[in-house]
Amino acid sequence: MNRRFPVARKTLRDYRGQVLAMAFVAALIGFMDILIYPQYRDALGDFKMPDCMQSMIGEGQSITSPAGFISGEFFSWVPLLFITVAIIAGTGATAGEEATGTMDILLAQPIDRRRLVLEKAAGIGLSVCAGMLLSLLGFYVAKPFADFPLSAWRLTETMVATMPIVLLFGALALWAGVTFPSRGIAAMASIGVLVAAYFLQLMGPTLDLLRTPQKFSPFYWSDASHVLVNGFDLARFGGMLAVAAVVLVAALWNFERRDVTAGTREWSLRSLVRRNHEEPEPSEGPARSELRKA
Amino acid sequence: MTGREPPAILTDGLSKRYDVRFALDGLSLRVEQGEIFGFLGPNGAGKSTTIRLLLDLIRPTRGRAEILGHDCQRESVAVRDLVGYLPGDLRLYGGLRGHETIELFASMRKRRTDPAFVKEIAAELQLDLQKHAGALSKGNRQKLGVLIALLGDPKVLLLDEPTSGLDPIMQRAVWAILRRMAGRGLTVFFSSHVMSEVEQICERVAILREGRLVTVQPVSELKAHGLRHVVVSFAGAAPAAGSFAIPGVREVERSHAAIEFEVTGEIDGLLKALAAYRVADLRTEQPSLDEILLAYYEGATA
Repeated sequence: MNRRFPVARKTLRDYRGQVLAMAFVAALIGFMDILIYPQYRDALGDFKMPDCMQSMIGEGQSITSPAGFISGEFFSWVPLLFITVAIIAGTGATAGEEATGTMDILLAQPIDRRRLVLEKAAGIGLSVCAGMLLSLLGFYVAKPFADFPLSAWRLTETMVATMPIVLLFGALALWAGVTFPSRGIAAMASIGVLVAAYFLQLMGPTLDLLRTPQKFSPFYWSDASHVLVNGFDLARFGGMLAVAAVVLVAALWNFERRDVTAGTREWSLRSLVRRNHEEPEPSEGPARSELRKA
Repeated sequence: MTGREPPAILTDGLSKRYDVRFALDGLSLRVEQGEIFGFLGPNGAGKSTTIRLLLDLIRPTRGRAEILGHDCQRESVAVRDLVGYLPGDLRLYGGLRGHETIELFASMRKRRTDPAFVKEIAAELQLDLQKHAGALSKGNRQKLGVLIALLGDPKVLLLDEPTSGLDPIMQRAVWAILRRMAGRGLTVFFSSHVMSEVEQICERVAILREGRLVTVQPVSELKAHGLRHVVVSFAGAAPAAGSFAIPGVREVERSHAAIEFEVTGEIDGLLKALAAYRVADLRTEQPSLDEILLAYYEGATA
């Protein structure tokens, strides 16, 4: 019996089906994109997209360039599939266990809360990252059969560069699951942030009003086209990972300090600003010395 | 056992408040090692709250608790390493088979569990470990829960209504396991609102009502001081009404040659009064624990 990281292993097992399904879909799309690119390029020639659509391809310059094409057709939305899995898994990590009532028996084992959340986060992170790497198979298999000038290494770098944003949304969902009263509300909050961030990234280049707010969108800093054109950007990669780590620490901090529930958690706005349990007050019970004598 | 050994469970003014309501109010309790201790109370009395506080699933508003000398909040991992727990409303991972569930929880324990022990208990409880937890009946899920609570060689068992959903034969099987574990020095702390099972296996009980501790007594004492019925048949006509004006004794029913009394506490006064008459027969009916508890719950006795 393997006794190491039982919670992480269980989490990997829980999400392997969803991750493999997403990886298969993404690999299939990648495979088709590589194969159709030469026809696409030849048919469109010097076609230039309208500004509002140009943001989909970012620094890829033109939709007919390899970087612009694969950015717009694959990297602009395929990571969203994995972000969806990360949000489902992140909200399930604590809120899901509490809603189904399994958290009680899980936390009755000799495992501290921090380790439980960290193992869950590690399981989720490994699952989605493995799925993203698997989805590269579509590119690798198709490349020998098509004229696609970007190297497999550059495509791999780009996929790796999009991992932190997926991890960030997973951490955000985990934090929301720890903080909000139910998994549903946590999922809605996480998806709300995702939609807002994506909207800022899409509309930022076309609306002056949104140019500055766009920089607060994680998609701005996780722009795949930037990596496709300029190569791997360690600062952006590390920065995004650091933000994800901060959100995870916030989730740990919050979970460490509150009561664990079985079923729906009672919740109010006040509970967001005060600790979920009261500070212990001096005991009004009998003196310990008396109890010891009893 | 020496006097220096820490108690299995010690609580000191343990309280839990939700908004304005106290789910548990100033519980001070001491359970010795090796005891089978019953924790009684109706639904909402605070039994599950107490157990969840001991496991650090929830934090006390005030007061503190220790298990085998370890603080339940500050040393919660050490405490949970010593404790086996069966929740009142047991939920398991439906997608895992019984043996996978056992492997998962056994792998979280610091002390290894002998697979032969798992097989032995599963056989005793007639539990099929090949079935998915989601496909198990409530009773079989409960059996699996009992087995999970015994993993990792715990020193204290916290069982929240452990026989709920089990048929009488399986209830006896669980009691037999608990007695055997207690015989090996394990402390069993279990909550129930089924008085008959507490009567069967507990040495001492605590009664909880609306979050407050009403009493802690040995089961035998609780029954001895409880309310009992005494039916006296006289050789001739029964003495006139009012002949037995004794504190704690009340006439409930009378016929030509018999009187039924309700006696609270000791029966000595009634026996002395009866010595003045020719008694043909005397029958006492021991109160059931249910009657005693009902009296406590209703505040009839204190």
